[in-house]
Amino acid sequence: MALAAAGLKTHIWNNNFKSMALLVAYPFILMGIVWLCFFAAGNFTPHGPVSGAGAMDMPVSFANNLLYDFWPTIVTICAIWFLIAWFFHTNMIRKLSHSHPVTRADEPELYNLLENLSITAGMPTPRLEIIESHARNAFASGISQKTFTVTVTRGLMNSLTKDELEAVLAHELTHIINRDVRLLIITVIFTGMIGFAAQLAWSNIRYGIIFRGGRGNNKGGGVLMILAIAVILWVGYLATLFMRFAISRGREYMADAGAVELTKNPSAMMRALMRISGRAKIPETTDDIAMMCIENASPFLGLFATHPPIERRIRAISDMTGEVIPDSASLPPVGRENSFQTNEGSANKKGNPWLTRTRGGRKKTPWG
Amino acid sequence: MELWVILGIVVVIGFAIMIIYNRLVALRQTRHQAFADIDVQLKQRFDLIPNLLETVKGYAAHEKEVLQGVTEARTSVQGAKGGDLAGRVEAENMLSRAMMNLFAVAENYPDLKADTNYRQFMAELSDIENKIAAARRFFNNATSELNTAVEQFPAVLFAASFGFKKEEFFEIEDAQRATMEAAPEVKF
Repeated sequence: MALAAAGLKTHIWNNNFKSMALLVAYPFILMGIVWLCFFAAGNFTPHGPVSGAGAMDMPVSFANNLLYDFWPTIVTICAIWFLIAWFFHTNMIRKLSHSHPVTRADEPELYNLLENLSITAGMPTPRLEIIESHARNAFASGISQKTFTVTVTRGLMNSLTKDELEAVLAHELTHIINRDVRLLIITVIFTGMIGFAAQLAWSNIRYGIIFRGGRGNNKGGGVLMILAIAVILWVGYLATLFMRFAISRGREYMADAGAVELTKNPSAMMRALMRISGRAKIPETTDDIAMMCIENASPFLGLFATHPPIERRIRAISDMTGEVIPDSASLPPVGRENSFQTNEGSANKKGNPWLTRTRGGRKKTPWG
Repeated sequence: MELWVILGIVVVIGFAIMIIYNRLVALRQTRHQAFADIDVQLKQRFDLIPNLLETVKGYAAHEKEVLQGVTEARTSVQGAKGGDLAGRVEAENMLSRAMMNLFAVAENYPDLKADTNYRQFMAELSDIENKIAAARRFFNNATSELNTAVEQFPAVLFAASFGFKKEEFFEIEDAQRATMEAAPEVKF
C-alpha cells in the first residue's frame, strides 16, 4: 500500500493504462468467448465429431469459419455497445441508482462544501446528485471532466456531521482525481456486455438442445449441457476476474488517504466510516452501483469483496496519521448546529440570494 | 564502435532531459492555473467591496478613517495587478487587514449588523474567504511540488538554464495571521 505522492501518481498512471488495456483487449476477449461458444456448438452438430485423430479438427475449423464470418459483426456490436454506454452512462447510472441531480440552488450548503473541496484539489467542481434513501452511502461516477459526478444519499446527509460529510465528499473526489471512476465505468460497461453475451450463448445452446432432442441424440445433449454451463461459468469467472483486477481494494485505502490529505481531518474520515458501517446498503440498486460506493459490505466471506473491511480502513487511517481511533460508542450526536439542514423549507433561497447565484470558474486553457 | 557507444549515451541523456523538462513545464503550468483559481476569488472579493462600503456608509458614515482605509487598499490591489507576485500578495493582504478593521468597527453598530444587505455581504465574504483559502492551499501545494522538482537531482543541474527556479508561495505573514486570529479590536 503506497501512500506517498509518487505512489499516487503511479496509481493514476496504472488506472489510465488499465482503462486503455481493457478498451483494446475487450473485443478480442469477446471474440474468444464467441469462438468457444461456436466450438461448443460445433462439437455437437448433427454431423458430429468423428473418433480418431481428426476428432478435434472439425469443431475447431467449424468455429474458426464461423468466427471468420462473424468477426466484423462482433466488433461492430462492441463499438455500438460501447458508444451507447459512453454517451448515456450518466442517465443509466441515474436510472439504476434512482438518483436525481441537484444544483447550488437546491442544496447550497452541500454544493458549497463540494465546491471548496474541488478548489483545494484544483479541479472543476463535479456534478452533484442525491439518492432519496435512508441508507448511508456515496459514490463517484463519470468518464470525462464533463460527466464526473458525486452522488450521496439523503440518509448520509442527515446522519453525518458536516466535517464527516466533507470527508466522504473528499473520498469521492479522490476517486475522480485518481481516475478510479473512469476505469470502474469501463469495467461495468464491459462486464455488462459479457453478461449479455453469456445470456445469448445460453439461449442459443438451449435452442440447440431442443433442436437435437428432436433427433433423439440425448447423450450429446447432456454433454452439451455440461459444456454450456462450463462456458457460462467461465464467462462469469472472467467477468469477476476483470472486476477484481480493475478494482483492487487498494484504491479504497488510496481514496481514504487522499480524503485525509484534502480535509486535514483524519478523525472525521474515521467517524464517517463508523457511522456508515452497517447502514450502507441501498435497496433497489444493482451490484454495479454498490461496487462504486464508499462502502460495500461483501457476502461470501469477502471472496468477491470490492472493499476492504471498514475496521481495517479505519486502522489504516489511524496508522498513517497517528490520530487516535475515535470511540464508536461515543460519537458526537448529530444535531442542528453541526449537521446539514436539508433544504425542505427553501428558506435559503429567499433569505440568501448569494447562495444561489452562478459563479465564474477558472478560465479555459488549452490544458483544460 | 566507441562512436556508437558515445552516441547511445548522448541519446539516452537527451531523452532523460526531455522527460524531466516536460515534467517541469507541466508543474509550472499547474502552478499558473492554480494562481488563476485564486485570481477568480480575489476578483469577486474586489467587486463586492464598493457595494459593501455603500451599505456601511448608510449607518456609519463618520467612520471615515476605516472606510478610507478599505478604499485605499482596494486601489492598491488594482495598482498591483500585473505586477509581481510578492507585490500582489502584499496588496491583497493589506485589503484583508483593512476589511478586518471595517468589521471590527461594524461591531459597534447594531443596526448595521441587523441590516439584510450587510448580512448577505458578510455571508458572501466569508464564503469567498473560504474559497481563497482553498485555492491558496492548492497553489501552495503546486508551488512546493514545482520547487521540489527543480531542486531534485539531476534536474538541479540544468533547470536553471531552462529558466526554472524556486517560486514564491502565496502566504499570509505571521504578523498578519496573528492579527487575523486575535479578537477584533473594539473602538469607543
